[in-house]
Amino acid sequence: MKKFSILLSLIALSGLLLAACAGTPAAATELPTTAPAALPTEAPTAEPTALPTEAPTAEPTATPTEMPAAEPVTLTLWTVSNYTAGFKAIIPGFEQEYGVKVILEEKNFGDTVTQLQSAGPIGQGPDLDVVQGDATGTLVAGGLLSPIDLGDKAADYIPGAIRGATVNGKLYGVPVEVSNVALFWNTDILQKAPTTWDEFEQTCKDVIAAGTQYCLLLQEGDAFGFFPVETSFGGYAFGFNPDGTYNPNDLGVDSYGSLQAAKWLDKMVKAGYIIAGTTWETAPTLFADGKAAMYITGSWNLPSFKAAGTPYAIAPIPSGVQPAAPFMGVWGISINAFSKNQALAQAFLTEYWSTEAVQLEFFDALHIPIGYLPALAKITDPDILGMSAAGTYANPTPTISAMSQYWSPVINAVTFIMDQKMDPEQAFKEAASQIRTLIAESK
Amino acid sequence: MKSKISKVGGPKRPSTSPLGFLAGYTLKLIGLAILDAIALWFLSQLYKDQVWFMFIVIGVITIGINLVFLVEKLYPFQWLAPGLALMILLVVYPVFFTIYTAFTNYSTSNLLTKSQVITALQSEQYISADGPAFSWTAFRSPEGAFAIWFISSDGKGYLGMPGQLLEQPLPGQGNLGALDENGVPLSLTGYTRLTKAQTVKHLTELTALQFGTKPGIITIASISKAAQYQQKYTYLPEQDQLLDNETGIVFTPVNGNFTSPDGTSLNPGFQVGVGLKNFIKLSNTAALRGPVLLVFSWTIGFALFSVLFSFALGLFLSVTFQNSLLPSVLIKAIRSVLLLPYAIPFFLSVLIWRGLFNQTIGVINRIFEALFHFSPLWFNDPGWAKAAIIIINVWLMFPYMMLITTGSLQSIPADLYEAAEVDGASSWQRFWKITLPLLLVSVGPLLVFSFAGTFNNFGLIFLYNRGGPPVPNTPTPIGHTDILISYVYNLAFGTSNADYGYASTITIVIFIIVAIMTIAQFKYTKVWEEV
Repeated sequence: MKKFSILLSLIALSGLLLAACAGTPAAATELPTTAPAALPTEAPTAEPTALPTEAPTAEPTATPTEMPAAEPVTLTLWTVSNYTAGFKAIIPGFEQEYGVKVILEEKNFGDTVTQLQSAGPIGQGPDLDVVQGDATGTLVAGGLLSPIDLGDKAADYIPGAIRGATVNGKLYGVPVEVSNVALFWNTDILQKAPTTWDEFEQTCKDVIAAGTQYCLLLQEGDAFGFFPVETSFGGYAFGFNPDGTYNPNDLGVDSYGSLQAAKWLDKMVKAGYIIAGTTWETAPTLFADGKAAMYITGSWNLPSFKAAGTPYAIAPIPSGVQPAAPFMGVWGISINAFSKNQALAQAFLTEYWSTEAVQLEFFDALHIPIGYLPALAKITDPDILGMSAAGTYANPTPTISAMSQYWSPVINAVTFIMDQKMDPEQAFKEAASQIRTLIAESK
Repeated sequence: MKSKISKVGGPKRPSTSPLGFLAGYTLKLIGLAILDAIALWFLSQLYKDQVWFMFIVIGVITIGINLVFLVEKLYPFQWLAPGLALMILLVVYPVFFTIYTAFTNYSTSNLLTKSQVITALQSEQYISADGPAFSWTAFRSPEGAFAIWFISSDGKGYLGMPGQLLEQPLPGQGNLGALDENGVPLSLTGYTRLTKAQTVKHLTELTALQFGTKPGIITIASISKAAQYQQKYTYLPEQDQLLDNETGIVFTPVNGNFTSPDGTSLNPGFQVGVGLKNFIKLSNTAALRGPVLLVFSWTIGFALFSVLFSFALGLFLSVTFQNSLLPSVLIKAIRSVLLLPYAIPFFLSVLIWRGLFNQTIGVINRIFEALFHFSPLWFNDPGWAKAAIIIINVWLMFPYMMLITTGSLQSIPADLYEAAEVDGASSWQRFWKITLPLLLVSVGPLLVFSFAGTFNNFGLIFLYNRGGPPVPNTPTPIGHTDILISYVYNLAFGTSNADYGYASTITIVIFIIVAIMTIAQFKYTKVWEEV
């Protein structure tokens, strides 16, 4: 068993390297050489303009406008399964309008990133790839993505989502879905959602007194769900540079605001308003069954609440000293750096994807929070409106490499507080020191 | 054994009819030809992709197989050749490859080869501050040639033919039609004006065209933009340096990244040997200064208890069934059912167990609650979490133990038991003095392997609770149920940037640890063999 697993990992490793080594010739053909093959054939066609004496012919418009292309042009798009239905809905429109066939390939979650890393350099990758915003930084550092020039259309997307996919001033992903966590509340148990943490405490007091077991569901160690609470107390993950990018040297885990939030969590756990030990498996069920008044979670749980017929509504996470700013989870379409159809892939994004009609068609197929503002303005779905209201102050998840050291220590710190294993301030200070150690080592 | 075969068989095979021999020989040749054809195709691909390491390995294996099957003297090796070839390909090659990778910086940010990186960087372009930028419209001749009408940012129109200087003809004259409201000629003799939708289809061809002559070559970048692009970087092969044409900064390769004198490095990086860097990194990591002893002792405890308990349970079941008076059909049926845990994909089992152990709504805790008014924290309490993991692993492993002990029990001679019975030994004594020692002779090595396998059972730990609950007050994150391999996994793959070089280094170190323990155990089990 041991040998087998080692062997497997070795094969996987060697396969990866093999794949990575193998790309040279494919890449070489992409070099924009100074010898265009078209040159000689162009010589005669240049003449007409040089001969002004020739009478203008009436013919040009009469020639068939559609010359069959030498070889059929295709675009390959890799998507994760969540979005397949949406792309299936919009692709025929593109094929019809532009006469370019689009091959849609569905990949498992995570594979659009890992397979691009192995298949991209050997020329086996797609032209367009749907990837999670968090992975953009890594893929750009690996030289696997091409910058995208959206021009004026960049302003049509949620600014944070564009900012999150921008590395060194260049855009590498066009938003597909922009989601964030929000406060889901049970409309049978509560009259209205609390808007501040003071209101929240009062609500919880009443709710528990009335016999509801869980006031607020926060999953065990759910640092992602706890993050908006941190920000509402003035805490942050990484500070910003003046140009709006994240500063890896300014870690906010042990900032005053974050420590205040940690103390708040400790207080809520002690009061019984938040109960430790609920997981991603149990929390949705507890909320769906009406055993909890509130739940900090994201749109991914919507289907199960709808299926269970839970009376729910979506509200922003309560404010502390400032409004809560959850992390924005962005999925976007990126262009493979080794694609042979760079401009075509780009045209798909600027001319087709970034249009209201297409975005609405995509939305109708999936009902997910999209990132295209003109289309969002037309959407009346209360869930989507609730989600985007909760995400008003949302910031993109940092793509800086330091971020990859962030989660595990903070998850532990939140767990320690929920389990009452450590003093809250101590827990967050320790997490901060761990993150600094890990960042220093990864350099 | 080899020599025996060659003596008996020798160069001359066991006698067959000449016709049969001929048919066999032809078949052999056809088989070899097919194998060689596949190998040659594979080799040509590897040659094309310049994967020399693999090229040599496949090449040597192919030549070896041909020699073995064609040279009569090597006849005995025919039986070994397939096994040897597969061993080299699937065991020896990956082992050497891992060792090699451990000395490189291969990671997600250093995926590409140096030549790929140079190609990628050389294809980067920039628009010089004073260079013109254009919007454009394409015209296409029936033969498939293109002409482009460029409009500069100050509104002037130019006609561009691939490879020629831009012209500024007067609209409505010659073969150029009048301009429309966007400043684009309505027609061009011999060409058809393409709509935007028609242009999209030809974008890939269009972006390959160059207009104007050096150094002011204009290329099309996107459907809306064309400009005088300049090559951003030029590689200087003699100096092995990269020149930034825009700023004049020279980048030198340092540890797999082109780096400027002020320390800025260009992405992407490339693969390069880094010597002992990964090993030094591993020995210096703060993670090793933490309570690694805690992780190490739990790893051993986890492996030891899992093997011990599952062996005990498996043995108990097989002994029970062996001495059972039940009809054999029933026993067979029960045995088959008991083998089920072994047959179910193990990650499914772990996820189901996760549900059973769930602290709030799990079946197990509901029973505990009803019987003892107490809910063990199977995930949040270190002791209970460890207990849960061992319970799951015993459940996963006992069918295997039952399987191997059932077979071994049957091989113990019955007369030993008869003799013991005559001597008046109790059944308890018989078990301890005869069954167990004789069983361990045959099963001992398998137990050692099970131990080593459990030692590295990453999947169970990761799927159950990701090594949690966390240990407070550590320099880097550590979980109470983290075993060595899940702990170091976080070092190399825990972040979004997977570091294969570092992972290989860790693999080697863990291999050494496991090897030492396995050898020690084998030395110890030899004592039993002499019983």
